[in-house]
Amino acid sequence: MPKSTKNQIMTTLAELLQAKRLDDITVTELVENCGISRQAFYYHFSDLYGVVDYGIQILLDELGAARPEDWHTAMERALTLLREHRTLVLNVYRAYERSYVESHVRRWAAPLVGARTRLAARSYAVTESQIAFMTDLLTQGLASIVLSWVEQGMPSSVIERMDDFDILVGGCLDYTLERLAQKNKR
Amino acid sequence: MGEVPVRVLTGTSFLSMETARRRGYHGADTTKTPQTERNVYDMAMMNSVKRAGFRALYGYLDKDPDTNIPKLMDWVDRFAGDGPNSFPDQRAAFRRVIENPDNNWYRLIRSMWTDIDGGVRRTFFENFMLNGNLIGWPIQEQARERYGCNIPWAILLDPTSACNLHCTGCWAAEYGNKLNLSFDEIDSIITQGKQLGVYIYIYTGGEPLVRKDDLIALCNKHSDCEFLCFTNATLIDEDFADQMLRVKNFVPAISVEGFEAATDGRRGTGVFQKVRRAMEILKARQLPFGTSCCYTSANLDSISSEEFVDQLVEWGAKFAWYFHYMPVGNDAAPELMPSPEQREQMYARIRAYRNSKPLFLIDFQNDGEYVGGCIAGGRRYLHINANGDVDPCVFIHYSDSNIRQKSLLDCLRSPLFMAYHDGQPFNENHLKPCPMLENPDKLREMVARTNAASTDLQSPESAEHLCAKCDGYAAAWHPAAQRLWACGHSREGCADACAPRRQAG
Repeated sequence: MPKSTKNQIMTTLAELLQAKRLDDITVTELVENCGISRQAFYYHFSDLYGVVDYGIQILLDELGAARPEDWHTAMERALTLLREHRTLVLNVYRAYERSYVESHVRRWAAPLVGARTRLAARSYAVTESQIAFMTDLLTQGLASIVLSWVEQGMPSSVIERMDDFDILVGGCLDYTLERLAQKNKR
Repeated sequence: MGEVPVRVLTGTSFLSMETARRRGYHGADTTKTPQTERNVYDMAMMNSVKRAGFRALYGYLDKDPDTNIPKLMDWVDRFAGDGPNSFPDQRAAFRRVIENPDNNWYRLIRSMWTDIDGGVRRTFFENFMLNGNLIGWPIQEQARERYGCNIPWAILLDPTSACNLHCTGCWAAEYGNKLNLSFDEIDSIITQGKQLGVYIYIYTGGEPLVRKDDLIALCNKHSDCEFLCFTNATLIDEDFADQMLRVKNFVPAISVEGFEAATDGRRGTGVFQKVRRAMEILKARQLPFGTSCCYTSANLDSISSEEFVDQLVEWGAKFAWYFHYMPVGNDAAPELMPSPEQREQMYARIRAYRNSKPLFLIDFQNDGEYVGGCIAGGRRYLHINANGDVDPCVFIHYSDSNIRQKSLLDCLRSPLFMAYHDGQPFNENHLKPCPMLENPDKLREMVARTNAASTDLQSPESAEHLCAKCDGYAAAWHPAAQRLWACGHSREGCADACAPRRQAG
């Protein structure tokens, strides 16, 4: 079966999501719109949630890996892209439990935040576990901001404020790392 | 086939685990539960506790199997307590196995970590052990009680009657090669099965892999079930093995007749090498597989030899299922049925290997004692052929139900299946479990009473014709079966039964 079937399925689901929530769509409805059989759908995916996972993976591949210095630009690009597909994103988001989405956002954001933290930590004598602790805290903060933003209907003002968030993170990191390094010296 | 929006299913006990995880579902959502369905949700709650416990236990084993497998029984003992239902003897036996690294069963369990892909292993534990048994069994029990009929533990089905080989004497060929269960029909059988607690599906045929894309699609759709497949293995190629690795819940049972000459003699020139290639492809990807052998008067000595069993282990098989030749069909060859001496040899050899080889061996005709006799007729399994006929057994081609006309539950409540339900066990001696082979009068009577028809579409065979081929066999096997049963089940019985033989021998 050609790989394009997978993309065709994803594109059709994206179209359906312009009008309906994910949990109001059935596989039968999707395959009828797609012009394929149910077994062709299930050859590739376990369910519609699998298609969403696949779509997210493609999105992440498109965004590519960001350099730690550019992490907030990467965030801005990601949020802008999500906002461009606002209806679709909301129709997907509402079909999930918040805790599930949160764990995924954190998984995605953690390496980015980790790299940013590590970059700042280069000039301080801090331990690995201290870096991990700060990464975890900042990742949680970032995930919270993203989820609240989606729940508020994805206003553009939040994207504009990512600059401020970056300043907050930078200041917070420098201050805390310095204090931790002092503590380690004692 | 109609489909309900997924939201309606949220909170049911048969929600796919993967889907449930995605939605952050951790058990019954009692806030949305109507009071009338409380017991369903109590069960769902209990299941989520079982899942959590099982996953914790699995994670513990997976982290450091060498250290933690031997400690497993400390955990189990702590939970089991010392009440009357705490299985002290069984626990002690299991402890002896897992505390001895040289024990064959320990080596088999340990090989799950050295030879099998981590994702496939985890899926097997979740789908087979957790869903198929810990979670499925209580649902099956509840259904048995509620409906008063047999509820199976596994369902065997033929996706197609087609086969790419033309083996001598294959009973599957009787159905011809134009019949198929559609994807939607198999999907419906599995969906109905899961509602009754059945999470284990076994494909036979025909050659199921003629339909390999549909089988992968079904593995994907029912990612909480474990699928086993009897196959000649010639259609297992690199691409299919990659798909198996992707879906993680498909385990082949590869048919072998013995070594190269025997396999090619029955299945065709070059088949043996293709089978070996398939096993290498599977082994390279760390995919589990087993073998399936039919023993006859002609090949029994060779395929039950130690040399052959050691070869299976070396090839990488994790299980070996042995089936007694059944004289089914108008053109069957009754002379291929093993003699009583041969069957007794099989009995002794398989038991010896089970105590010495790192391979899970089952001889379906001689191992009735572990499952209370005949498991057919839906007691533990049933068979649905590629025409939709619901047979009590892969070897008993009589039916009064077709899955295209009745629900799975109604098939189980049909007169023929109820006759099995009411008649089982067909013999108190579980070395004589079958209503055909060892108790032919039982099948004659059940088929006559229920007006079940032959489902052999090529050449319908009467129950009388079939059972007549077994009368002599049953009478000849009886004395050995009685002696072995007495030996295996009481010391006094053994002394009485074996004394004359000892003197004679």
